[in-house]
Amino acid sequence: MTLERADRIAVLSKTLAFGMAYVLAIVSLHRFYLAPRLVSRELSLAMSIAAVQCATIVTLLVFSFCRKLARQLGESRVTRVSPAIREFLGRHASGTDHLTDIRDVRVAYPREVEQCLVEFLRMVRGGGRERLAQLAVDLLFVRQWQRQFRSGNLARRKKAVANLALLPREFAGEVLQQAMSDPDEAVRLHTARHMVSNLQPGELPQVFNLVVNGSLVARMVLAEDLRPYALELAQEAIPAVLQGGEPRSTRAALDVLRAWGKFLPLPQVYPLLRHPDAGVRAAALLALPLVPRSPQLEMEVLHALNDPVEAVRAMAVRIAAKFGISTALPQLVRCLRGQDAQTAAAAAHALAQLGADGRHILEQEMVMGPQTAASAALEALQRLQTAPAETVAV
Amino acid sequence: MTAPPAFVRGLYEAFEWSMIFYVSASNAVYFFLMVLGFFALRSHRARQNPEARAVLLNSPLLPEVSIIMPAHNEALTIAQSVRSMLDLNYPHYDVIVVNDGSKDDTMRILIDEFHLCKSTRRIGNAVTQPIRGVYRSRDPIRLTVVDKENGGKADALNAGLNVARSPLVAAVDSDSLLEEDALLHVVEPFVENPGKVLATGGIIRVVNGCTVERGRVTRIATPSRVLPLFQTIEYLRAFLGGRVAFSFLNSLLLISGAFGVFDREAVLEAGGFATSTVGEDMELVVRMHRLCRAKKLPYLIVFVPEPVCWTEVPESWKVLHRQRNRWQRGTVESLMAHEKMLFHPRFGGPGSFALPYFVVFEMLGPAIELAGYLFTVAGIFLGVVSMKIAVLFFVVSVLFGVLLSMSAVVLEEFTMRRYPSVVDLLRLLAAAVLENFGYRQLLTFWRLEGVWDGLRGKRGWGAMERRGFERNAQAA
Repeated sequence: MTLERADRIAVLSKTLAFGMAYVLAIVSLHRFYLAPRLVSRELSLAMSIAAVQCATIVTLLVFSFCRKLARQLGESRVTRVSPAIREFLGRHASGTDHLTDIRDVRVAYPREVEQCLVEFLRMVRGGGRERLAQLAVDLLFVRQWQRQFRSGNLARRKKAVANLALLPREFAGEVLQQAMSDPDEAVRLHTARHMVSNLQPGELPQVFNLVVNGSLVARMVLAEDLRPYALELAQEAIPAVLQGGEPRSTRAALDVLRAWGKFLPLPQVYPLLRHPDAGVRAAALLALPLVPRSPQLEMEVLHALNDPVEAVRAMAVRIAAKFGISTALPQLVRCLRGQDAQTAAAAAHALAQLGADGRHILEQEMVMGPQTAASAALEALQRLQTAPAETVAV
Repeated sequence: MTAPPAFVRGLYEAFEWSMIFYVSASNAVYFFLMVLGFFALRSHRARQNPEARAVLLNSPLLPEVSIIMPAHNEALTIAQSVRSMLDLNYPHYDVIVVNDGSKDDTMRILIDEFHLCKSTRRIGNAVTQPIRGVYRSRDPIRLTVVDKENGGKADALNAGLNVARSPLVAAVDSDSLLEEDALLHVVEPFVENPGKVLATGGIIRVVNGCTVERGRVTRIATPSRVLPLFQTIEYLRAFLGGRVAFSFLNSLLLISGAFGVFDREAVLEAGGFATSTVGEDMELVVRMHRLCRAKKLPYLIVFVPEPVCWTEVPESWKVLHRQRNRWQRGTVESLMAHEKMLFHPRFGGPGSFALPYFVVFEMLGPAIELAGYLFTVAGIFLGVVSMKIAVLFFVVSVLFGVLLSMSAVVLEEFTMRRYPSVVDLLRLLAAAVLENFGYRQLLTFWRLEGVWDGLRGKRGWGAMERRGFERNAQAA
């Protein structure tokens, strides 16, 4: 459980406030009520503690039962009134004016109307959605959501953003822009996700900016959401980031390529194989199978196999196997005999996939190589025998 | 009755004040942890994004995980446990079962059920008891079985670490069942704070009373038997109150051996699981704190309240006694192994708060509590403690116990809501009250015994009688 700094401060403040209220209740009961009536001070204090504890227990009990009961009643109310509300909303979306009826229902069942309206806004497209959006304005839901967006409660802010993102931008654009620069990444991510589900012209670069500058979670989630826009992004936004060369955002952009697993015209990946940051070099190697093959490929992979950083060499080994670069045999043997067991295993599997020469080397290493190399070679050969078609993950 | 001598009165007065101080301090600390846990949990819940979690499951950027399951004489549940592990909702993981010298049919069942054949899989360098063989399945499942000489749970986990290749390893008891999404939940902190999180632990719940079908809990209910029901309350109190709060303070000292995920490199750097203790889970976590604090490295050890690992709790007093004795011994051994961290500002929250808390309230607590009961009774007989005060003292202490247990139930109801029916809620609330009359006192005595055994250096694990998940659930 990891919380943002603001959340942590809020949690600590609430805990202290609650603790102080609890102590205050005990002290007040002791000083102003029990102590004047009892002979022993200790007895008065003990009874105050017991009484406040009892009161807390009863409050907790009543509260949890009321909550459970309220939830059950709420659920049954939704089941009862929702069909009628949906009927009105459906007809309104298809062109018949039911504003007065819905407004009447809203007075008695505001939550249920809001819930159904949001459901419809998610499902309906085109003119129907515009009519429903206008309805949300007329019923003052939009104003309510805008107010909720300014709440200190994160869950309420997220819900408000999710609802506002369903509306045409003339109703909610300003709030969404504010939400995209919210200090809390959870709100930014939530907003971006909802913007993508109803994307307007000009918003794509803004969302992609969050992908490359946000956390790994934001990147992973938004990469999936942006999958349909991969080609569009590969025209300008991604090349711009790759050419910028800033290590963090470049690695993020390369991660996104890997997450998509799509073949994209991005020759800008090749120069990154010589980037000063090892993380970028490793990520660029992983992205090579996803971009058009360049004549420099072989030379770059051979260069990476001699990289001073182990992680980069390990990636290079995998890529050499993937592209079947047979000129890499000497470097692969060196990796197989190296100190790192993971790289040695990767090198053994790479050699196993590089035809008869590679297998011959493995057989030799099995007999004459150092222990790590011998066991990695043995394992690779056994895998090759039992599952020749299997792509072995290392 | 003659009046007691002055020094006896003086002694009792001093004792009375020290007890009042101890009880007030323990109440204040427990209360603080519970309230902190409550607010932290609510804040954490507000931050949750279930839709995003579904998307994460499709991402190839999620780290790979190796699940290590040590198994010793688990013939009754092993096939079902492994099957349930192979059916988790997580894109990149493999399962490593370590048969720790079982004397029953565990290995034969594994070979037959999962069509195992010998493998030449490379083994790492951590020192363990001799390995008899490494097996893999002929079926297209990512299962590896390590067959080794008996060396205890920690040794089996180290053997699993030797075979694991993923950056993250999950240590899971073979008598536990994981919920489908459990792995994703515990891996999330690693993704949220890349390179910073060393270990995460999930919430453990009691499976007794639930319906289990094909290795999955299909209906959640509270146990109908008293003993598992009391343990359900204890688990809720420990996990939802204490651990959430300790995690919030980055001072979590215990990630339950039943379900925890670790950064493999970090575990290897720390030296693996210690085989010299029965509390290898706590010892490793304390050691990780110690190493990181000593090197001033930024790190997090996180408790995740959502993932659910279901475990079978003892239904007999004898087995429960053994288990609690072992837990207490493990705590004592871990605390004694890292006594240098105590009150040392260099070790931050773990050294200044968590470890002293464990020493004062978990290790010495049972002795102090029992001394309190004995002195009070003796004081009544000697005429130095008034009956009224003694009763009130007991009432306050019981009420406080009730308050803590009820808070845990309410916390569950406000946040997780895993027990659906009102009957379950009533049962839990009744157990929260009843466990304070006799059960808690008995546990205090057992814990004291465990402390004594721990200090004497008593070894041994003690057998857990397995009933099998489905039989157990039906019976409870």
